[in-house]
Amino acid sequence: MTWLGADVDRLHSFGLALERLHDELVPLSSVDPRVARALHLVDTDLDRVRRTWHQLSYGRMAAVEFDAWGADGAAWWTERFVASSTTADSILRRVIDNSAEQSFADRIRADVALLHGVSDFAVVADFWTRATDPNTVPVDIAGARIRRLLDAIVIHRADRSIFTTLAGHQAAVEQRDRDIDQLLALVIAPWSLHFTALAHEWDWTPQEGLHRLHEMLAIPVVASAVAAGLPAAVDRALTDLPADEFARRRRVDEVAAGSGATIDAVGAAVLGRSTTPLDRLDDLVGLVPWGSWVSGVAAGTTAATIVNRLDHRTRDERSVAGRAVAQRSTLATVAMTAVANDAVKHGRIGTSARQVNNDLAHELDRTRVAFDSAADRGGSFVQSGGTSPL
Amino acid sequence: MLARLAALIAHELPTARRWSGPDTWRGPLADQVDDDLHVVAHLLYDAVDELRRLELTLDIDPR
Repeated sequence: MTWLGADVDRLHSFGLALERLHDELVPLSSVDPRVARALHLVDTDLDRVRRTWHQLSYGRMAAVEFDAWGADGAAWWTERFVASSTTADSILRRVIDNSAEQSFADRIRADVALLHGVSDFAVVADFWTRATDPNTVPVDIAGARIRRLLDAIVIHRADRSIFTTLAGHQAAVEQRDRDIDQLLALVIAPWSLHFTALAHEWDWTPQEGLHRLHEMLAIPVVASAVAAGLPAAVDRALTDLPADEFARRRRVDEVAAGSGATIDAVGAAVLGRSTTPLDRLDDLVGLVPWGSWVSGVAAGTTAATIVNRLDHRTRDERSVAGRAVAQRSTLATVAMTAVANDAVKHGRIGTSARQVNNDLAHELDRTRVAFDSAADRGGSFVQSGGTSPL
Repeated sequence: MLARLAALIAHELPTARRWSGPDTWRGPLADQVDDDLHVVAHLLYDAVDELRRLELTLDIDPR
């Protein structure tokens, strides 16, 4: 569904046409059981169209109301600290009660007021995670919303000069910033590949995506969530692959490169924060589900040989590096499983049992190789600032 | 009844289908309604055929 303003009017006309059909069918429904069944179908659809129209128009009007409240930054910032429940709480609650979150999410522009002006942040977090849920929200729509969310947060954090906070409320402001960090982690983690190799699906240049990823990974809780969510992101990105063989290969290569670049970026962010070499290794292994980044980021050699190079180090250090190597194949396994599932689902099974096995085996092997070399591809991608071909 | 049903098939049904068609609207809701209206069209055409057959039978044998 597109959530453009004009669609509300088109949906209204759509509803009127269905209503006329419905009204004409009512007196005829006793003529024949087929007509009665047709009336039942039209009745159900009319109800769907009316409900959707209500949700769209309610969200649109609520966004206008919210933006008017959020336009005066000094006023709503004060209201937040003097009232136990703000106007923003009331509007957002009504939006949720009317199932109007989707159109509201697309229409509001006072994002900072939504993040900081609502007293109950759990409601805001739930609203944003549902508005960007990769299982229900289309890629382009989620991308537009997340880009807007990041802009609002970055701009607000860079300049708070119009927001005056009394000393007694400083702790509440800091708590809200930590809550927003947690929200960013929840929202970004499922979409981390769209900050690198899949940035074009969000109309971002790779440089823009990478810049935004680095910006967000500076927040430790975001780095942890991005690393932990990478296998699920890879699995999702390799679901419903193109039917065309070359397009399919390109998709696998893109996702492999994106995962490598994401791991490199997470690694670089964590390295910058850790104090000792052992901390760095332990932090990285704990965070990243796949240890091959160690080759480029930590030791300048391949993950398989880092254990040998650590022979002169302590048992703890060798144990950490060993875990990194053991986890190396996690993403490749996830990717191969996703490709195999897709092949079965879309019937890419060839014309004979032998061909089935050979074709699929070749495709899976190619996927494994793509992900095995993903750290190098990701490293090149990051080092070139997103300009190198994937 | 038959004339009203035939008129409905000729006017209201195509209008509703035009709104749910891909040139006007897209998305899961339109797809669902479009599929349903396709079924509705079949049901109504079948009903009209049946009514016409009955009418013909009645013309031949008024009993």
